[in-house]
Amino acid sequence: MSAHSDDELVVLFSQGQNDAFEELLMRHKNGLYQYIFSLVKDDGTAGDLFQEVFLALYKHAADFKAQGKVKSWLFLTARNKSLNYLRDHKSLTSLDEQDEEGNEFWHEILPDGEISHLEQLTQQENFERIRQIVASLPPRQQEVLYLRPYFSFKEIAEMVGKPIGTVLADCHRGLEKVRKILMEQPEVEL
Amino acid sequence: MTCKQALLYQSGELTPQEQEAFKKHLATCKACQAQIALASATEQSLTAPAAPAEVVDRVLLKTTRRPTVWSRFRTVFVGSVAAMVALAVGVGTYVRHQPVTNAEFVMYMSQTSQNEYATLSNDLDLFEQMY
Ligand SMILES: [Zn+2]
Repeated sequence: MSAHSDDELVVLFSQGQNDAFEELLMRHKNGLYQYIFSLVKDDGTAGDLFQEVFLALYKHAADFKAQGKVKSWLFLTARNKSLNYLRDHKSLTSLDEQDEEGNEFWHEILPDGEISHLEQLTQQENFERIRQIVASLPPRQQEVLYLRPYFSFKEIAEMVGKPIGTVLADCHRGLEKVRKILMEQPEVEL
Repeated sequence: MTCKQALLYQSGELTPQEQEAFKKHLATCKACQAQIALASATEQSLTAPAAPAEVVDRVLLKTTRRPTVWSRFRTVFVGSVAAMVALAVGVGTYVRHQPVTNAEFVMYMSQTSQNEYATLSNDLDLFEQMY
C-alpha cells in the first residue's frame, strides 16, 4: 500500500479496500494533527476535529475527485473545521491580524557566532524548544510554518487565500523571531 | 535581492536558472546558510511529534475497524445464553430438593427470560447510541 499515491489509495478504498484508507490515515495523521492543534490549541478539540476530517474522507471517498489534491483537501477541511470552531468560540481574531514588524534580511544583522550556532540546530534537544517558540508566534506565522513541511509556498498561498509574497513574509518573520529567541536564550534548560 | 530567494530555494520553487544562481550565492553567503539551516530545523521540529495513538484508534474504530452489529450482538447473546444455562442448572438443583409444580417453573422461567431480554435490548440501544 505504501507504494501507492494518495489518489490511487482513494480509488482503492472506494472500491472497498479498507487498508487503503488506513494507509491514507497513517500517511497524513501526524502533520494533520499537529496542524489542527496549532490552530485550536486544545488536545480534546484537536482530536475531535481530526476525527471529523477522516470520517468525512471515509464517507465521501466514492465521490471524491482526488486529482493530486487529497493532501490539500485534508488540510483545507481541517482548516475550515478549525476556523469554524474558533469562530463559534469567539476566538477568531488572529489569522487576519497584521504583523507590522520589519522585514529585515539576515545578512544585515547576523554576527558570525550566531551563524555557527544556527548551523548546529538539527539536534533533537533543540526541537522541543523550537516548537515552544513557534507556539508563541502570531497565528498566521505559525500556520505557514506548520504547513510548510507539506506544501510549497505557492500551494500555501492558494490554501490560505493570500498572495505568495505575504506568505513568504509571514514565514520569514516567524523564522526571524525563532532565531532571535534562540539566540537570546541559547542555554536555557527546558 | 538574492538573499530573498533563500526560502523559495529551500522549498524547491525557484526556476532551474534561479536555482543555479542561488547555489553560487549560497556558497558564499553565511546569512542564507543560517536561514536555510533554521528553516530546515524548524520543519523537522514541527513534523517530529506523532498524532496521539488514542486519537488515531478512535478514527479506526469508527471506520475500517468498526465493530460489526453481529460481533457486538454475539457478546451480549453468548452472555445471555450462559446466564440462562446457569439459571436452568440452578433451578434444576432447586427442583431436586424442593419439588415445584410445572406451572411454577414455567412462570419463573418466563419472568427471568423477560428480564434477560430487557437487558439484551438495553444493550442494543446503548450500542446504537454509541455508534
Ligand atoms: Zn544570502
